[in-house]
Amino acid sequence: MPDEEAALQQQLQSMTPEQIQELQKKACIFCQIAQEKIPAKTIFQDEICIAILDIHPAAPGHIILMPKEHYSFLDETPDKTIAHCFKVAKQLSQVALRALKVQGTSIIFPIGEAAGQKAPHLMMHLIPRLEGDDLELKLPLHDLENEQEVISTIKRTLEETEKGTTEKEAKFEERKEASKEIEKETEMGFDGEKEVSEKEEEQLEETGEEIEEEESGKEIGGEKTVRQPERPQDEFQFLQTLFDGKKPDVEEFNLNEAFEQGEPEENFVTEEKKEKETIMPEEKYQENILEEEKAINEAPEEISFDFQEEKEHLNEEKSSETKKEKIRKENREKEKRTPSKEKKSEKKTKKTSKSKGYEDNLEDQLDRVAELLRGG
Amino acid sequence: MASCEFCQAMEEGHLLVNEETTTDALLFHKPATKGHVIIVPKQHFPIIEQVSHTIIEDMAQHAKRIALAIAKGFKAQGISLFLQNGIAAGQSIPHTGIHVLPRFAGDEIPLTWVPKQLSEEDMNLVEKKLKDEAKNVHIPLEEEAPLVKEKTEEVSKDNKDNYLLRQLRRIP
Repeated sequence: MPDEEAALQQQLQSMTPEQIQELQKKACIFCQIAQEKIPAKTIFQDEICIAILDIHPAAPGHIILMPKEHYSFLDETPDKTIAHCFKVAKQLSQVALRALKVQGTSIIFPIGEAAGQKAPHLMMHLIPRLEGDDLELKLPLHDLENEQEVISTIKRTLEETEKGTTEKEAKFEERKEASKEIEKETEMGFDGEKEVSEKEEEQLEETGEEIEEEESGKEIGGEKTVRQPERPQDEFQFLQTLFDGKKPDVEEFNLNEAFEQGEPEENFVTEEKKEKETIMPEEKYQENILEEEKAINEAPEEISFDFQEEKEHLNEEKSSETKKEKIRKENREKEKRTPSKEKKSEKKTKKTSKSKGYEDNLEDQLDRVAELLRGG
Repeated sequence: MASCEFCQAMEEGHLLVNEETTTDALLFHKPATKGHVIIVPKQHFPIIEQVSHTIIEDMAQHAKRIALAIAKGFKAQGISLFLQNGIAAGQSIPHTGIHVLPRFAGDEIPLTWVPKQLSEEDMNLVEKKLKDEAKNVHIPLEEEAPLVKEKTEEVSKDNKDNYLLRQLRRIP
């Protein structure tokens, strides 16, 4: 006999948590009721919970409401299950009021033995009440003492538990982000293509290729310098429209000519630059990402972007363009170039703005364009 | 409602423990034990039957959060969630709410009952009555709700597209 006992104990210890859960379910009479292996007087059931009559009721019509899944503790029960149980409890309370002509219901949800939980399966009790019944289901009323202390205790624990979880989540997210960034770098910017599904790729063939090249421009090929591809002409037309109101000397100025004259050297991505960027220390890299993300977050949503406002701003602050506006412009241009691929380009701007070289180039270009427009 | 104690307490805020969009956690003004909190909807509903499913959901989830915090903060051995519905059930304030009480072994809070035995006949009668009434009960499952949400999101995305397209068309 002792040998058998020991063997069983060993077996129990070697079980996986899933197996133990399975065993608990088999041992739990309420799980068997939920699976209809044991007959019970079922009042209501759906996919999540089941309501039966208590065989030892406190009053006629005493209903037990429980989730079908086996949960022993509150913290392992999903929010949705609890919410669903309360919704069912409300409906059943109504049912009891109507069917049994009672004057009220008490809904008791004991958690833990000290609270009166009798089985290792969480359940709610719904007890119909009549005025003057002999049930003692009421709360003693004491005077409030040390309320500020109590409140602060609860607040503190709430903060602690929630901060703990959010911190964990944040850390996890951070790590995830970081690993993604590293992946991106090592993949040499071809991730954009990977994520384009076949259908979209077909659509993109005409307009999209250009952008893709541009985005991964600095990584493509082993040439010493990779020139950023020229932007479509309509982009400049678009920029021109920004000045429609005042019409400065932009009209006389041939933008294309100016563009063909050549680009300043900073806009060429040299091999050295590339190296510098890729061997950036990770801390600095993270900082950069955070800064860039912050800048993007600060920029207003595209949808709420007011074209008229932009015009005014440009006229007013032509000489000192803020970073926000640059980002705005950037977004506008993207929209302009790929009207059918709005979502796509949105995603891309988000993604690619994280890879530093690209954004810098864009900014430089924008600076240059702004200068040209000013007639400089 | 000015005459409702919970509404007043919510206005004054000195018993407020925690706040969510539709629900408040208040320290109960006549506590059964130290750390007795009640989760009440911000809107005034005398009984639970008047509360919409969405707000009940919020109440339940809020109650769970608070219950776990109370259990931890007061090192309780258990938690009682308790909902009184109607004067016969001992509801003293006409504003529904879920009581959250930390429990300790031997704390003598009478949330227990003496199990009784009903005759088979009575049990069958009660079962039949309740079952007939419960036939029409249908609570939409959680999985059904997000589908609707997704649909509306899609619509809004379309709208966004249209909006942007319109804007683009306006630009010569």
